[in-house]
Amino acid sequence: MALPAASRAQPREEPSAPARVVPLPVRAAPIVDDKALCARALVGDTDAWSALVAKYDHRVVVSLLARGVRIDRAKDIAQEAWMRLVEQQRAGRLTHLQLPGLAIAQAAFLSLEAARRDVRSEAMLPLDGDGVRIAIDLVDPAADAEARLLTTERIERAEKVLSGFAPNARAVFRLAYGGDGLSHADVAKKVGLSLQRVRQILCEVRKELKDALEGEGHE
Amino acid sequence: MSDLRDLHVAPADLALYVMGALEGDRGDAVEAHVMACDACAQGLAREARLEAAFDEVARRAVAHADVRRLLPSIATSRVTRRPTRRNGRFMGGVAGALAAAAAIVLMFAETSLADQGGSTAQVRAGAYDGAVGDISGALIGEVRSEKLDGG
Repeated sequence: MALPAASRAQPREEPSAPARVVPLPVRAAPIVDDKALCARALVGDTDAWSALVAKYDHRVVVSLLARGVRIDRAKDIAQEAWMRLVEQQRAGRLTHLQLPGLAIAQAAFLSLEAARRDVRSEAMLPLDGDGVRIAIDLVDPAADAEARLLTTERIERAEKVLSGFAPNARAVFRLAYGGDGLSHADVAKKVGLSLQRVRQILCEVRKELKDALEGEGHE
Repeated sequence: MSDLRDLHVAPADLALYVMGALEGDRGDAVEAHVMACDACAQGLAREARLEAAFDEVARRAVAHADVRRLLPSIATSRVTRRPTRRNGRFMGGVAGALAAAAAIVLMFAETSLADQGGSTAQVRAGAYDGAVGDISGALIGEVRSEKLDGG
């Protein structure tokens, strides 16, 4: 565990040299209420930060993959995003901590910054043989109004499909996704099913919803 | 999965990876493969976008379930129904009074500006602002007093 050396009782300690935030092994991550964990992280508790990183780092990486970032780059950016949050907390500029949203937003910002840097450095290079430069597309496809509408329609369709599942399957899905975003182990504990069964349910629901989301919408 | 350099990753494994359900060597193998395989990297990105969509579906489902839970209690609540009817009547009356008062204020202001030689447009703007401010204040006062009277 190599979080920057900060003690629990010294939230405003002078920033030390940047170090990597290494998530705790999954088995060691305690199942603690998120609010309590975030409250501890806000006062500089390094164990709390590590637990939060262990819990949410994968989701941050996946959010970057969804933006088309390569997996190695996604992991680096996610790491940097966590470091920025820790630095913000140490500088006393972090008054609340809503995860994984804040880490995902920070990572998205960093990935856009990196893409802009790439475009700028590309602009310094000579044009290729045909005189055509291939620009990196920075436009968020979701920003397009038509695409948004289509997305909304598909999400509504998926929601309808979800409502056709048995109540326990819906409960498992809602706990694993959305605001709660519990780990599969936590979901299993909460609904009283085995981890394997929870994953089986999620795979079944996921498959149906995927068809609804990726289909053409002819009902 | 053992021959990932030659074969593509199974779609099910890409899904399990983004779900965080592919641990240890299998997860590492997927990561190593998508680094070198564009097709699988795109497949992984597609699965990752689906995860974001599932989050949205779950959020909406929870929100709609909350609304459905609340609706029956709102519909059968005597406390909330009665004031709604009264408020409807009251607001209708207030709207009428507001329109009449504004018209009167505007008419007086125009007359007074005409007396002073100003333009109608100037008067309309100034008088409207003042009238709305005055009437809003009165309206808020009235609403407060009714709440106090009516409990």
